[in-house]
Amino acid sequence: MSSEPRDDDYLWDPRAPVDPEVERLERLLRPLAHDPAQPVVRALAPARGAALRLWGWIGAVAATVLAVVWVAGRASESTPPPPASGLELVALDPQQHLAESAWLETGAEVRELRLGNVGQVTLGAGSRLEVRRLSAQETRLYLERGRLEALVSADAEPRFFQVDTPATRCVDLGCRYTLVVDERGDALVEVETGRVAFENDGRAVLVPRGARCRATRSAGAGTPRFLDAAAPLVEALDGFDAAVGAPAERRRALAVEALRAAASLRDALAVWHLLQDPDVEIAALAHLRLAELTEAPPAARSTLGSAPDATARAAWRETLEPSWW
Amino acid sequence: MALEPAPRAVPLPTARAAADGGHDLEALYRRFAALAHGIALAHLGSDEADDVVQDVFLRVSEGRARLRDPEALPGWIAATARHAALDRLRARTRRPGSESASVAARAAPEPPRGDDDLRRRVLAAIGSLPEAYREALVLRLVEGLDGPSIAALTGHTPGGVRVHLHRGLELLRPLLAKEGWV
Repeated sequence: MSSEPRDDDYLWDPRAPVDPEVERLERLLRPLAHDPAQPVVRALAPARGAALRLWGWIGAVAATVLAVVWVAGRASESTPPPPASGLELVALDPQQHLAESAWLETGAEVRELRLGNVGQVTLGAGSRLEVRRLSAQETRLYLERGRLEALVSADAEPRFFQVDTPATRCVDLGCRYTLVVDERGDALVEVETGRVAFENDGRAVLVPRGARCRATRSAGAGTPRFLDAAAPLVEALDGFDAAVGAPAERRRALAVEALRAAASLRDALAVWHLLQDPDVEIAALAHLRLAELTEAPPAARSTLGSAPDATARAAWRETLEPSWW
Repeated sequence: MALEPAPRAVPLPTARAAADGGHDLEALYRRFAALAHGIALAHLGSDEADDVVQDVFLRVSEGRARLRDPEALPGWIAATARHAALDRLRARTRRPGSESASVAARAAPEPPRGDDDLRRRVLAAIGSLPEAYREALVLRLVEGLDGPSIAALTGHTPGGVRVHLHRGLELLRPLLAKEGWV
């Protein structure tokens, strides 16, 4: 069978002329298919174990990675990692095995890197990258400048693949993202699929598919927002993010502007992040704003009017997550 | 510093609205169960795929009222299935002969003992492929979805799915040969 895709190829379209090899695989494997006669009623039974965690976000990404990584929350599970068979980091064209402490710099060219069978990285022109750690448990790169696109398998363990930048650390799980670091060392992450987290001094910054987040060397990770967020919200958030270190009254005024501009559950991505602001008044205002945007989950109701605790923040995340798809 | 209350941008989800969605849930199940099952199969093998489907639709029944964009439902279901499968995979202790997708294809020590054994080996070989390739192949070869449907349900572009299917099959062939597929 030709490996060149065609409009009439059977692997793409079962109505096309039959490919005997593919048909034989279908006949062998079809008994494994979902049985539509299975009732959905089981799905409504309340006794089905603990709710699955959809988000197991991994902490903030310190790097100014443009990677938007929404961290999938599996960090608390103590299960052995899947084998990353003979983990190698190989740059292609020309092939070049990269060991720890190796640097890779691109001129006008773009280089593709393969990370075992768990990921691939595309390093843009004018980039400079260091391999800081390379093991089956953790792989960490350092993007000093330039552009990096990463596609990491969801099979990879939480926190397995990380990219440091001068401003922040980017941790991802099963995602595709683009990370750009400029000459100042500031970074911007945009997530195409999956999720990315920024880690910054214990603060969790979650960047889901279709969202972006900027991080600067001076202030760390900013507030993520969706790419299609309205201009007033974007401007207000940019102003708030830039005011790190400003007097409390100034930050609170900017926070109020941003919270007023948040008008939908989609905008709640940014509002949720203000729940963890070190200024408890800002966190409390953000908490009130979320409750105005949608019904508060039970675990958060007792703290409405004040800064939410970790349980309330987690409950809000569970509540808001479907609206971020 | 007080905030002026904003007009509600979205309707409040209510327990009543969620409970009355039983009929809708059956329709969603008929439409998306194969997607969830195929993804679970691609990651877990056949042992727990049905359980994952049930978990996914329990989640769907609880969360769909809050879904902002109904058109994002397939992507949400696919991601939920993926996470549910990987949660189970990480909780599972590796066993010899497991159908886990993480088990690399290995040379068959002896010819397969019948179709069931061959089926298990082939599925394991598919499970050793990169995620995008294995999901596309399982959805096509097992669940019987065509390329455009796989693209629509997984959120990948049609061009991407074509590549996943064909490159996946290219990578699969030598693995199948090792498993006694002739």
